[in-house]
Amino acid sequence: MENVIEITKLVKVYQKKGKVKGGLTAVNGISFAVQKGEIFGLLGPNGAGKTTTLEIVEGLMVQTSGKVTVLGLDNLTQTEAIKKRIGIQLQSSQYLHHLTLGELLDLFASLYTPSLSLRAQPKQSQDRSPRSAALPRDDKKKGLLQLVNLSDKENAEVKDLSGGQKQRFTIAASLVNNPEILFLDEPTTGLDPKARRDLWQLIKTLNRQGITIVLTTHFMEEAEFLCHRVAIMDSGKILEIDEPKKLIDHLSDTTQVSFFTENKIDANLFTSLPEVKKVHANYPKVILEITSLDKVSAIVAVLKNHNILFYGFTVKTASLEDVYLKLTGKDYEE
Amino acid sequence: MNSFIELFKANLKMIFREKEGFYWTILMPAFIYVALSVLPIGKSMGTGMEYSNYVLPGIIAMTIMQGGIYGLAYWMVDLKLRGIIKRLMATPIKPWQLATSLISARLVTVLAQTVILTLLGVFAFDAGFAPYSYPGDYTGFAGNIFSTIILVLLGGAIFLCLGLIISNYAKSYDTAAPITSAIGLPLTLLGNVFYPIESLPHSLQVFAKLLPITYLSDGLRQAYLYPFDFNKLSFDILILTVWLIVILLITVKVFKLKE
Repeated sequence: MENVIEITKLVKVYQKKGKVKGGLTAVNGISFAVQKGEIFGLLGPNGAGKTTTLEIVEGLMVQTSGKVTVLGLDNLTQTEAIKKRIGIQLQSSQYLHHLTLGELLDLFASLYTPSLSLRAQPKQSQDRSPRSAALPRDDKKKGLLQLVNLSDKENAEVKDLSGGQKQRFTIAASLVNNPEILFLDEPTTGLDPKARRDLWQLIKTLNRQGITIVLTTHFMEEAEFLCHRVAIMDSGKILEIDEPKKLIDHLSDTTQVSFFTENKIDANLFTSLPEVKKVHANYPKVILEITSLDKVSAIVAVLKNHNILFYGFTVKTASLEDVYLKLTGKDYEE
Repeated sequence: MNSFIELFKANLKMIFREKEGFYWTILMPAFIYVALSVLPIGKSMGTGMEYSNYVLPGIIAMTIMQGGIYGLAYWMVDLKLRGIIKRLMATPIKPWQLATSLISARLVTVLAQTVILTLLGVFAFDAGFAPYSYPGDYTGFAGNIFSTIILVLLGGAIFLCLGLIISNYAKSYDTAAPITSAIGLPLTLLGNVFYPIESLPHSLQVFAKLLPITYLSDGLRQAYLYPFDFNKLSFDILILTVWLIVILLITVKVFKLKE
């Protein structure tokens, strides 16, 4: 499979003003590649280095050391050529005030090469796909708005949109240049479950049209549903990189029990049990990794014997969240 | 070029559709001008002419200065804080295209303000652009539109570049406020706007003679209130051109589009 992004020993250190030494190492020597046509996820807690990595690849930031190529182009010397061939959705979905969605799409299209402008297209194309560069201005604009289910909002302003609509519009705006790679930085943060699932479907649709997608997310469920491969990052390093299913399979011998307690409890109650492999106690939530499903009764027995009041008792087998938890030692909600 | 034109148009739409801001930008200088013209405060200024005549070019110069230093600097800070600069820089647009489109759109606002204030001054207070009587029988016409446009564009470019430079160092509204005040206040008080700089103490006169607004006010006064005199106007235009070259060089050197 062809690599569209190659990152080798990437380092980014944020220097303090006026100081040569020291500073914060946001990305610490990571290497990975993204293959053509896949949805690739970067997972990690806040401050893991996901956005920094993405912004270096997108040409918005310069690395301290290491090599990055995007579509075979060097990110330091061929930045403009890269920008013409990628689409970017940033964490913030703010746009210029007082312009309608249609005007914003016109504007963004004009910032790429004139041939990609939504304005001047001399000929009608046979390709009716919303991503076709050869469509006349209005068809292209309407196609993009239709794709993100905002056809009736062409004359509305961004401030009049809901959170989900705003995020869908940011994706439409990132598609005006028919990108080969689309970068989505936490695309569903702050959205309600329905809007989140709508956006997932949109991302899947775009990927089926042949766009390689690189996204960052906090949501394990999202990564598991969308991504062909994920890289789990923490403290500027990649801890693991693989298909979600394979990462989960490595933990298949683990069953997770979680519950909430009324009062703070001593985690040692469970660490002494042979059935319990690991305890994560963060009052009021307790998460126990046990060797198999039939050991759940032993946990319940301990709770009863110690008169511990508990609620929200759930049992589940391994998921990407467990992989994340195991690798980073952090609850993804932290 | 296409990018520049589309950005220029988008900037203009934003300015003119921001109705409240636009009205205040236009109305406030007009209100100040009317208040200064009808109140009897002008007589004590020692201008040697009707105060409504004297102060009109000064108010226009001050409005041009404020459009750059306050208007553009705050607008850039707002665009930065809302992540819009970053979003635009994610496209292949070049920083100079973005900067020049912002300046060009603001220059249109400056011209609109100038036209409105001029119409108010000329029709309501007979300030400038009127027959002029020389000593003796000879009469001429005071007011030169071409010189006015040159001066407004020069002044606009100088102060808009200054606004860009300020926005480079102002990371938030809190930092923008003291910087713009520190620069805007002396320009307003010492810049030949409300009274002749000759009425200032000598040390302040020396400082005032270094300020671009002094020459913008003086040039506009020449252009509005007297028949065209190349020798008098050329000095003001020369000084403003030197200022523009210096400030352009500084802008190119220090201005960076960043968050």
